[in-house]
Amino acid sequence: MTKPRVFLADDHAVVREGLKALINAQPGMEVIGEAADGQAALDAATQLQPDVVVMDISMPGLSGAKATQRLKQACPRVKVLALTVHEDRGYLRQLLEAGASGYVLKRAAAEELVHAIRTVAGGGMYLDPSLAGKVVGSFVSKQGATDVSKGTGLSDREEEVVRLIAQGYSNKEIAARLTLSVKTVETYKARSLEKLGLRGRTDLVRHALQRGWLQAT
Amino acid sequence: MDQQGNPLAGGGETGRLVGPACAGAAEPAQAELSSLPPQPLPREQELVAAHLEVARGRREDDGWVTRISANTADGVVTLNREWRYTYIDAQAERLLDRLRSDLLGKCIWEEYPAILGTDCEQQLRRAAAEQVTCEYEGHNRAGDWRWENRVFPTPDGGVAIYFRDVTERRQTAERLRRSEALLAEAQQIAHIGSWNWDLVTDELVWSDEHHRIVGLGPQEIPITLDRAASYIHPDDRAAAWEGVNQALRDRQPYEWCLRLVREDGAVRIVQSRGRAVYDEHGKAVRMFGTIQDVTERKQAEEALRGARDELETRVRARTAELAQANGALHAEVRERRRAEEARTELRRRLGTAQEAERRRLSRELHDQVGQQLTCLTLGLKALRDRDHRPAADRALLERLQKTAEEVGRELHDLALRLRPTVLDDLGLHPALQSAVEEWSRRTGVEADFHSAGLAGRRLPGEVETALYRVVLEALHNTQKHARARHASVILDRRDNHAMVIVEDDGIGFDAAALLNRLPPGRLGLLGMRERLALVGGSLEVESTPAVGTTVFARIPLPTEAEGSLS
Repeated sequence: MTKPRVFLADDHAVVREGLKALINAQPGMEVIGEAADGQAALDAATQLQPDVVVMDISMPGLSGAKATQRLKQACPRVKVLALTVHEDRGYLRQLLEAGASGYVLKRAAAEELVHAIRTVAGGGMYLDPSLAGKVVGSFVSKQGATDVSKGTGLSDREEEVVRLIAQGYSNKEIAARLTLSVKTVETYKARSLEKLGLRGRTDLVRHALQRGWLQAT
Repeated sequence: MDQQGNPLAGGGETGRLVGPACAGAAEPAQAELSSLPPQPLPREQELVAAHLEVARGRREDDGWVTRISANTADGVVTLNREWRYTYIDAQAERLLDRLRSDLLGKCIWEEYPAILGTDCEQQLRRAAAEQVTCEYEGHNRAGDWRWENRVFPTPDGGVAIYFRDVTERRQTAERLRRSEALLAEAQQIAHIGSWNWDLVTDELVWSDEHHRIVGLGPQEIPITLDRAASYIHPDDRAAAWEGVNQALRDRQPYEWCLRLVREDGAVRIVQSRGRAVYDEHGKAVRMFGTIQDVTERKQAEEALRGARDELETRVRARTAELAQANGALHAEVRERRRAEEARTELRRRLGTAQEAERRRLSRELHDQVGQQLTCLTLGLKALRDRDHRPAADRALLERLQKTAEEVGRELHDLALRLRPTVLDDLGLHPALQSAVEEWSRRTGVEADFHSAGLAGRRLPGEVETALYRVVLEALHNTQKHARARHASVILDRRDNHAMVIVEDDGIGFDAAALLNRLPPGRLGLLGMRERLALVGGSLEVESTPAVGTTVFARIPLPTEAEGSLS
């Protein structure tokens, strides 16, 4: 493995110092430049063409996500490793979409960062272990949500109820619309879920979407 | 037709034949019929003359003349000194209902023994004996037939009896009397007196009741104009007199009220009505009218008017009070509404300020404390990695580093609970997605999130915050109470509103009862409702035991929600 040339982007000077010390302490790893905001990082990194840019995602001015996106567009070969205090998966997804190759939490940086830099520099993907589980779990959940291959087998009334549920109406509202009792609507709903092999309302919405039932409104 | 028995024919003939002959002798008889001296005349002529005298003596009385000339009412019979019928005319024949031939020569006492011992017998005998004229009335036993007799002595010592049926006249008179009595009674009852003033003679007549009204007994004293005027209250006298003259001038009836001063000095109010009667030349010849004591009525009217005025005054006062109270009430309502609006606005600002504070704290926890913690761990790591470090120091430094990492994790949880920065940085969709996944991981309840209609667009900050908080609260409730195996969270943005739906398949509860009773521990529903209300949103909760609970939160949006994913 070549000696990874690392660029640091973090608005917190002391953190940068600590990171630089950590990285430079590693054999075969050196910090070739640093920046305190997104735009400076984008400019410098574009020029320096480091192997890995360690990017804090919350910086003043151009955000880490935007800087990452533009950098990857300008220099696709430069790997971006997001370094953040945010454990929220929303940020993770955003950074991954922007083109980041890894996502490291700052609290774990002391132990994980070096390994992560090596991983992404080698063309791999690194996710903090505590976040990796969430991502996988959510993908699995989403894929298993709907089985479209099953025929609906729903009666007209059941289909009507499912349609309205998917449109966001409450049982009471549906009952009023179809002049049924709330109890009956509940029954139609339960029966539909069972027939379709679905778990709940979100599944019904997706089912309706896939069948194009929501276009009418 | 019997000439002899026909008084009209006889009268006409005798008037023409005999009239001039007896004109001179008849003169004194006109003055005093009863003192008419016996006239020596042939028998037949005597009777007729007597008849004529009677007729002439009654000439002043149009009624008699009319009667005789019309030959309708009076019957004539003559009796000689032996009280035997010597003449019976047709009318008498009819009235007596006897044939002349049957009665002539018969004695009256034998034919009509019922007369004996009556006034009738006495008068007949007196007329014959004393040679005077007598008048008397008689009637049959039943009383429904009355007659009036006039008896004249005849020169032969007998009598001529003129008689007529007066049943009808008496009945009319009786009716008139009764009618007058009724009028008097009516006047008395109604306290209406009447008067009649002859303008030619200035003679004034008052009814009994008129007398009573001024405090006199009926017809107690003769009434003169001056006397009448003296009863009018001095202050009203001139006006009353002028009023009468005015009425006469205008030929109009009058009606007004004036005050009378009674005999006892009491002042009474009377209503006076009057009108004049005019002769053929248009001259007023008579006035008549009524007065009615209306003192009580006037007093009652006055009292009524007073009561009404007082009532109106009170109603006005009460109305004014009510209007005032109403005004105060309106002001109070306005004030309360203002206060309520101010309170709502304050709560909204408080909520906003609270969120802003949380946002700031969360941000600082990440950006300041988080960064410094990073420095700390990096420093500890650097220390640990230095060469020739005693093993004990390394172990201590490692523990310190782990602790610092632990603090970092807790810091993140704390910040997340305060307010996830992702909500501000990336929006509701990623924030909810993360929250749902985090909730599912923590509780072990399978959870599914679906979002539609946002297409990367952001919602107004208040709306995002409110919906985010509602979802978290609903998930919290599910975790705490529902014993659910599955939860669905839907974020849906439609044309005019944003909504979140949180559904679980838990044990459910009686939503309506809960919203009414608010048992401790489930106040979260109220909190959600309140939070939504501050941004104009609404909350609906549907729950069925053993089926699950669904929470619907809707917030209306401006038609084009501003903001988009940056």
